[in-house]
Amino acid sequence: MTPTFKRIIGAAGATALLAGAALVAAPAAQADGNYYGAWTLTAVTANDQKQKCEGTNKEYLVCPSGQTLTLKTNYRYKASAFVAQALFLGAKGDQKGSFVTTDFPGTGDQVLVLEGDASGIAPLGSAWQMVLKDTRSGSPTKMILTLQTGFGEFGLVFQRDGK
Amino acid sequence: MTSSRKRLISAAAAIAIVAGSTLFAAPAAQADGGYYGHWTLTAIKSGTMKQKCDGLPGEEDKCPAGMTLDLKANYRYASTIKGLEIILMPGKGDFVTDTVPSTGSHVIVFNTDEFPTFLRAWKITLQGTRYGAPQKMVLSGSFGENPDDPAITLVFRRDGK
Repeated sequence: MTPTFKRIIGAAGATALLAGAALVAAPAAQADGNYYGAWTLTAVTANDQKQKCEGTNKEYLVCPSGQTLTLKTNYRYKASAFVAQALFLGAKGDQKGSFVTTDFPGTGDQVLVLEGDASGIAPLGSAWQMVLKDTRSGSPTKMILTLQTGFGEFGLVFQRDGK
Repeated sequence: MTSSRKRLISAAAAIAIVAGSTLFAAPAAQADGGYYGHWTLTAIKSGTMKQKCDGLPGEEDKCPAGMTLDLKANYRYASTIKGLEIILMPGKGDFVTDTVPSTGSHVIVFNTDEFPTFLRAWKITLQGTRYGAPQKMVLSGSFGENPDDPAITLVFRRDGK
C-alpha cells in the first residue's frame, strides 16, 4: 500500500475505526430504481490501489465490512461512520444529511451532491462523480463514487445489498 | 476537525494570501442575469479571518486584486483564482448549479478540465438584485462538522465594484 493511499484512507477512516463504530448489517435493497436504496461499501480505491472492505472493526483494517450509504427517496442520506469519513463528510455530525444528483450539461457526467446536517456544503467532499452499473436485472446494483482530491483519485465502490 | 483538514485549509488559505498574481483589469459586466457573468474576487473569509483582495502583485500577506471567475452561459467556467487549488482549481472547466430539494440550498459544482473527477461544490448566494442582475455573489463552504470548524467564504462582485 502506498503512503499516499495510507494517508487518504487514514484521514478518512482513522477516526471512525478508532471510535469502534458498530458493524452495520446490509439492509434489504430498495427496488425503486437508480441510485435510491441502501448501498454497502465493498472496496475503496486510491489511484491504482484497491482495498476490499472485509473483516470486522476489531481488527485494524483499512476498510471494515458492513459500512453503508442509504440514499432515500426524500433526498435524505444516511451513512455509516466510516463512509461519512471516507466521503470527507466529518466524523460525527454528517452521517445524515440531504442530497441531490445532477448532470454536467456539457459532459453528461452524473454528480452526487451531499449536504451534511451539521457541516452543510463542503468544497472538498460534497460533490462526487457517480457511476451506476449492472442494470441488467433492473435497478443498478453497483455504484462507484469518485473524487480527485488533489493528492490522488479516491474511489468508493458500493454494491446494492453488498452482493 | 481532523488534522488533515486543518492542513488542507491552512495550506489553501496561506497560499491565497501569500500568492502574488498579476493584476487583471475587470472587464464589462455581463447582464444576462443570475450567476452568469464575470465576477471579481473581492474578499476571502476563513473562520474569523477576513482578507480583502486588494493587494498588489507580489505583495506579501495580501490577497491579490483582480482575480476573476467567469461563469458562462454554456456551463463553462474560467478562473484566475490562485492559491486555493485544493478547493477551487484555476483554469477552465464545466460547472452546474442545482438546488438541494430538502434544504433549498443552492449549490454550484465545478469540474476542471485538467482532471475529470476534480469536483468541488460550493453553496452559492446571490445578492444585490435591485437593479436587475445580481451584483454580489458569495460562495461558501465548510470543513468540518462542528460550528467552530472553519468555513471559507469567497465574496465576488460583478465587475469588481
